[in-house]
Amino acid sequence: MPSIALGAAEDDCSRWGSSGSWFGATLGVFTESTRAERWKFGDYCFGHIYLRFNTSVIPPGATLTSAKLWFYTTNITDMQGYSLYGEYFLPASWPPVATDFALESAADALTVANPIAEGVWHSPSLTNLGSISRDDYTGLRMTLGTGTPADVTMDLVDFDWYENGSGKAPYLEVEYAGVAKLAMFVR
Amino acid sequence: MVINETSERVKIGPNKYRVTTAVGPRFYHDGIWKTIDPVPVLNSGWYEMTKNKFQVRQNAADASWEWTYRGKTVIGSFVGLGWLNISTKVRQIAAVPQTVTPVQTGNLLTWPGYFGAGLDLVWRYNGIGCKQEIVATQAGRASLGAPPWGAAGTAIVIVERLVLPSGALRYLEGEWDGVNPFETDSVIRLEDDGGILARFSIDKAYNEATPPAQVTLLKRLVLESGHIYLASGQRVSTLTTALGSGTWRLDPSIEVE
Repeated sequence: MPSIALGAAEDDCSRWGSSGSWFGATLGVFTESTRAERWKFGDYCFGHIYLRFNTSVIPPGATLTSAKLWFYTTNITDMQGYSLYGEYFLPASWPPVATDFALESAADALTVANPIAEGVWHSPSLTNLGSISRDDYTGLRMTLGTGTPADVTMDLVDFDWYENGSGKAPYLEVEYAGVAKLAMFVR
Repeated sequence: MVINETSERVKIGPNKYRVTTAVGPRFYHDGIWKTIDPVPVLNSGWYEMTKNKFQVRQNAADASWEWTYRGKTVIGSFVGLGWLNISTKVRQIAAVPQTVTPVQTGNLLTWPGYFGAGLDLVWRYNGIGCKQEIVATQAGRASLGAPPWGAAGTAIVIVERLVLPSGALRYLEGEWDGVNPFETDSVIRLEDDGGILARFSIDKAYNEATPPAQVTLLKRLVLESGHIYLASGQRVSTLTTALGSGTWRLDPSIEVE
């Protein structure tokens, strides 16, 4: 059944299954779901959340003092105790394509340590604020855990997503010191 | 202060500001910036979502709907569960939809048993549009009985008819002659004079069982009797296989016939 819309929200996810996994050797992108996962079923399966924010609204000369990613967790399955990692990553196109995935995260943007609470807002602070664009989008790729799962266990984290319409979709909060006003000197 | 559809800025101190920016629109411009409210309001037999740059209303009695944007309206009504025969003609499984009373929970409208017992129609309103789902329970699958096309049959579809403003349809990300069935993997746009009037996304279906399984849906557009028919489903041999175990959500997909 169709969804009717004027555009697409900028919170998507992808799923990758290695050969012999439950999914088979497949890659897929989901535009109406936001799930990060890492688990073993047959072989290994991974999923990433992609977020994109229009940060060109920040003045070019502003000094960023802090930034937080706000997201609401709707579903958590925690069997291996994975933490959630975020890295700065802006896909070449939107929505992302399946090959934008990465097995491991650089975690240069944020970390949410395990255990991750379900049904609450999270607001981890972002590091490396210089990676937040002033003239374009800023992208984040969220990855759950590192390494290969050791057993037939599943970890997953679902964010509430925009098309759900609940008003709990992810957003970025950035604080900055404004650009100094131009001074006019008259002799 | 609202900056654009997704962002606003507040002053938090001398020369200090906080900007919040979301992954989708939070505001719309109607002379001044206003906050989007995706919760439909019942008004004279119609559920209406009007606090946005587009308007949607849905008839409480039969779930037919109207989408209005840029002064043009697309009208949709459900024909019912059906299937495609070998010549890709829509054939109805049963005389559905049913006449049921919708239940509203915030931005969700649910017509329990709309497609038959255990086969609910769900509309989910959000800031950029509306999403339709059919949620099938075990009771719903059982109520459908044996599939009408037999073990060697073709497909399950959920059929919806669209009435478009005159001249509104240009297709789309690909070429469609408006006559022959069309299949696509991405997005179908209805355009009017170069502007997007509405957009239908074609996503995958998934099974909410553990682990969730992704399903490739049929994607086809067909024009029949002067109307465009939208449908979605999977190419399977039996209905029970198509609906699987647990609760299935057939997410956005399209066929037009």
